[in-house]
Amino acid sequence: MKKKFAALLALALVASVALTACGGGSAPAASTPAAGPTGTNGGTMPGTSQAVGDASINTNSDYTFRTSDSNRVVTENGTFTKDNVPGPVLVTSVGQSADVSMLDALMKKVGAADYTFNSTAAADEMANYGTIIIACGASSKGLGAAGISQEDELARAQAIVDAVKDSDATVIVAHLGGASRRGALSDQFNNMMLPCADYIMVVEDGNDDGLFTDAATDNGVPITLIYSIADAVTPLTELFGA
Amino acid sequence: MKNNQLIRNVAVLLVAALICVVAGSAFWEQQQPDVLYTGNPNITGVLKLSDYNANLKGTINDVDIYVFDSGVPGGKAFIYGGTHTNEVGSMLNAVTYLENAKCEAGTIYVMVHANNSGYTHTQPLRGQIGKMTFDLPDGTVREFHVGTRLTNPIHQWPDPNYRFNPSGRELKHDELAEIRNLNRNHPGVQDGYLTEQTCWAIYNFINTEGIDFILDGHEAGAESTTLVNTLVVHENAVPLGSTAVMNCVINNLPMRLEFSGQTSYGLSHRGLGDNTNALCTLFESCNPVMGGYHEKIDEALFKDGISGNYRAMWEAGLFGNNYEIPEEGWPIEKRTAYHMSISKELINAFDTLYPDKPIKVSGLPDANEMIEKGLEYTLKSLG
Repeated sequence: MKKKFAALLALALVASVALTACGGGSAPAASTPAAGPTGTNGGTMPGTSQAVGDASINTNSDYTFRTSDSNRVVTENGTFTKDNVPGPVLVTSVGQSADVSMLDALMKKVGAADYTFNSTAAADEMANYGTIIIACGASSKGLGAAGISQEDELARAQAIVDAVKDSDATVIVAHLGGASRRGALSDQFNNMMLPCADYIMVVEDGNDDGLFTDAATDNGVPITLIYSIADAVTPLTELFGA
Repeated sequence: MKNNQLIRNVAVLLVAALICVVAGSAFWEQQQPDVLYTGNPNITGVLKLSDYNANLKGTINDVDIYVFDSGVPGGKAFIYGGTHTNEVGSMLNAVTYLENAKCEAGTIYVMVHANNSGYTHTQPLRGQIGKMTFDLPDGTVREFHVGTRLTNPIHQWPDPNYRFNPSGRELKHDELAEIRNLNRNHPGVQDGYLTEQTCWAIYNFINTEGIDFILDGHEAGAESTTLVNTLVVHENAVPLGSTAVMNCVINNLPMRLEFSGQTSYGLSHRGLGDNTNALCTLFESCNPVMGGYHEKIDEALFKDGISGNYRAMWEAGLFGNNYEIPEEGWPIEKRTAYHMSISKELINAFDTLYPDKPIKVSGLPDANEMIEKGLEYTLKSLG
């Protein structure tokens, strides 16, 4: 009888301790990383570039940022005007990131008329256009959404390079995704397209190693650096605005 | 001697009972539903998820959907929070709509607690608070429960050993608990597990009411660099999403667009985007609680979003330039304002892109004022 009573007491104590241990409000703080995914859809490896406030020097290179909160659009290596963008105009992508959709929205915002939006335009279509705006940047999700493999997209990009390098068309390389559209896969597309560019437009935090400014210098083409993607409205208005 | 032992034993039992009562009160309190302000005169009706899946009748997830019908035929938006119940910015955006919105054209549907069961518990051993409070200027207090990302096992148990449901997500081994994750089981199963039933009710609601677009609100840890301040869109919703995001960035809100992954099985933008005609979007704000490097998860961390760990990581350049982790953190009013802004811009964008289906909203607080003054000044008093 005593043993049963003692066992009952022990059970009651164990139950009370167990309840206290997983209670909500007064439980001790967790000091280790929480279990489970870090975000709703799972996280990715963080980037490596230093955040930019005002114009500053990147921690990973000698690059000096030209744009800042108070100086949001900077063009170097000459000028690029409406006269340089004959129609018809094509907006396409290499890498199929969502940036091409943002570019499309920005073109609509500035009142650009009579342009064709085709993110997967084939190389043989390039001959139909006087100006080709190429949004560079890879996205595995974008490639999946477009139903294109990485290899096929690289082949398409190379075919576009072959189609435009000796043509009279004006090629604008637009890199609007910033630091998150850099990295091995994106840079494959960036490096393929930059030698073809007649004009480069880049959100500057994607240029923290000078890839785009160096390409502009090497090729002798103008480049517009913008502080954020919203600032693309300024050059796009000048070039394509109503 | 015998009496002394009896007294000692009774005393131990009383102490044990007292501890049980104290511990149990926390559980009991967590089970109580939030009291919502439903005095907005622009609410024209209240639906329940069980109207769209009768299996939910009498369950904790028979959630209310508030209807704002303008009386002017047009587009239909479904804005909801509480899929993951510790991602509080989304829930408070839905509360903001519930308390303030007026639909001027078309119809807006608002659901505050999508997975209501999730509010009734916190993750064991995580040491997380179970509610957050706001002291209003009139001296009253508003309380909102904070739960976890999964359905409470007391409402759905046991987890299966294997599950392959219409979402296309194969659940096995370490992923089995995801059978209780509302955002891993869309479009759901009508007579499946409670979470699957809830997903199916949402799916059937969208189809039955002819919803044109949805916004499912979430929050992510700062290390989720491709998610924070990002609107994820199904491929059918790209023009809608890009227009809304563009308008936000022009208004200096650092938002981005990302496509739904083809293999994001069971997530709302994939599972509902593929299986309904609605344009499906999902937005994530920055909440240090959701990351893996947070400090003590107390009410201050939830509300103020100030994390020295994340600030240091940002200063070390680990998050790129996608967003800032400022000294003042990512407070709840800012996160809620971001959810409110993107949902409002989605409504505006749909109205612009589909002029044959007008939809307009008014009455929402000014986002800057919300950030400046705090939710204490926008939440309605319960009197």
